[in-house]
Amino acid sequence: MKRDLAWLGAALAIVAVSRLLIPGAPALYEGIQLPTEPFHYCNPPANLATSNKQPGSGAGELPLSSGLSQLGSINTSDNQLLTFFPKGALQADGAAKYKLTLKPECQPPAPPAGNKVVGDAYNIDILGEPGDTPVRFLQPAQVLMRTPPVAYTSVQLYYDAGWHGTQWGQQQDIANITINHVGVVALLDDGRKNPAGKPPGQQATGIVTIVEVILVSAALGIVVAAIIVQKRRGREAGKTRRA
Amino acid sequence: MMGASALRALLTPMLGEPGAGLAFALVLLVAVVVSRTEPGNRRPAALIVGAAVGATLLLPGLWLHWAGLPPRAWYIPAPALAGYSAALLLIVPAEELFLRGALQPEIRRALGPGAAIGLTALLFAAIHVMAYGVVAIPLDFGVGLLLGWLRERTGSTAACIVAHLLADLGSWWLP
Repeated sequence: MKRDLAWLGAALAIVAVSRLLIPGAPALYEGIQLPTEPFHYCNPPANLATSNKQPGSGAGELPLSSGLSQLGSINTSDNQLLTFFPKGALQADGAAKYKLTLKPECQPPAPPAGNKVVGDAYNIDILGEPGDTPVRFLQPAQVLMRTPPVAYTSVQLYYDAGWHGTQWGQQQDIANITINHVGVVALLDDGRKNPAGKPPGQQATGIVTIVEVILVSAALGIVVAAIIVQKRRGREAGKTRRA
Repeated sequence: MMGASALRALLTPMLGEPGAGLAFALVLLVAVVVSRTEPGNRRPAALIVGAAVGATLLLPGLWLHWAGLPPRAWYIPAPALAGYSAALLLIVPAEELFLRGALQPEIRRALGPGAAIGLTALLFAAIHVMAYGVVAIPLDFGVGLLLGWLRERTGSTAACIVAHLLADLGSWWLP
């Protein structure tokens, strides 16, 4: 029983830790790579111009309760942009509710010198209703933005006539961004930090191949060794019986 | 197994993911038939334990979803899901029948249960590296240990198939 619990505990710990701490590892165990809907570009590359679909927009409302904006989530119709607002995140004078709109910004403001916009920029707009009053962020909101298979080096938010850095992280083909202001959010590439120009996640191909070969050889060797050991034991047991 | 895996990698550009997966499954099933798989425990209780293990494997994904990450299926074209589900119904039993049904008892007889669980888990992780990359090794090794333990504890390969299928299909609707 104790041995069972030890096996189970060890296996579950490895699964939980690797699932939560290694975001690039798909939780699929049959070797299939599921096809994903192609990225919807506002301004598609020339080779995708005919097959490209335009990105979707989204709109919604966050109600107010006891003077606090309520917990809510709004996304675009194609789920390329998802926004999450914690309770009490927004404040606008005299507002009874908040109106949120998410729109792809196909002609975003010019990026900072030396940068280019990667993928789609989105305008995140929030107004207090009635009266279309401007809002303040009392707490940051989270934005999940689908990213194309192209390298980017920062995620910035455009407001008050300038670009501002954000806190962001990357999980597979999604950028997880913290915002504390309305504005235009965009992925930017300054062309320096990632000189190979490869999309994130595709830079370890050579290492992957080497590790594959080592792992496959090791696994195969161990299995063959196990079978040889078993046969030897069988032969020795046979000799002992005969003797 | 590695031959089937290599064949799958070679066929993927020609047949696509589901077609190459089916070829991989067929090779494994032939190997299972040839190797005279040990008959496992077929009691329903074992299948219930398998379902519980499969559900447990979904918990970290559920946690990630609650933390705000979108489910994988949001970005999968809907018609593809049916075809991939069908491929899964053959690939998963083939993998389990070969690894946990045929190979694990063989290694257990030679080296004991601990080595049998560990080695089949290692092989399970190795065959998925080609599809998912090295980042998937710890997760697949952990899942392999869990499925190997399930096989030893219940004596049932069917329980492993249930757990594996549930974890796979369920994770489509999780991050």
